[in-house]
Amino acid sequence: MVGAPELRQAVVSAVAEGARLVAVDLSDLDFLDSFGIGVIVGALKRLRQRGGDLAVVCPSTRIRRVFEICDLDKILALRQSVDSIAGTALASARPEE
Amino acid sequence: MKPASRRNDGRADRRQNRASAPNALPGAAGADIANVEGGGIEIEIPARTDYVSLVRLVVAEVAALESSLEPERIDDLRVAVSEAATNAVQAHIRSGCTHSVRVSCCCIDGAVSVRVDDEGPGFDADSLMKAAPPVENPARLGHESGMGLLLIRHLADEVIIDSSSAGTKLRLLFRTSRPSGSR
Repeated sequence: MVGAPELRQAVVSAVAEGARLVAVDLSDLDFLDSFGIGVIVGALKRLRQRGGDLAVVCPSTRIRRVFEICDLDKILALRQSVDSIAGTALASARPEE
Repeated sequence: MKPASRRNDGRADRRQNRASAPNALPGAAGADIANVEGGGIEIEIPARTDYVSLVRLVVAEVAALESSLEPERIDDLRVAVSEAATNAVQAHIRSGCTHSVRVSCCCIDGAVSVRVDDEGPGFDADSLMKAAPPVENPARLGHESGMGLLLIRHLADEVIIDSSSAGTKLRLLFRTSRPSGSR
């Protein structure tokens, strides 16, 4: 479990180690604001610049709503569970508030 | 103790009121909390980002205690207040202002009203809202910040921004009953 700055660093490290498909698990997240959104967007940009992609596990409608208001649900994959992305080689990080 | 509505005068007056408020309590770690007549609070926080979580916690608890706002709307309130407080704190940090950021929350007339006042250099809300490219534009990924005002405007029922070079007063209104067909 990490906070937003640690999540940013975790993604940077994963990409530096060669990861191109990264999942961020927000299942246990209680609160997401624009700072956290910014970290997610930064991770998405970093991965797509390298031909990779980001999946976000976000079962909470409350957290999902923040993505939707920012229209980010249209450009990144919001998943209901980690199982829904099973079978893909993914580095993962689980942020907390 | 002065009601919140009477604290909307000039800054000097507000500070004078605060100093004389008999119920002003020195809160934990520098926060200064006072009760507001009619169900609400005023809080002053140092311009530090790690105080923002305290603000959203306190405001959400007051709204839950003093209003009939639905739980999901209190979640909206938490996000909007957090964004507003973050913007205010960041405005002080960027401009080197060492004064406190003031937040008040009162629950009256079927609504929760939150004010966030800072003494930062101010901003043009309209141009900020237009800054981010449309989501289908790949350039959107270059904008990792600037979503705060968008969230505030979407989540609150009413937003009033009074911004000048002397500071920004942001007022959010969350109505306890919303017209059908609203968000």
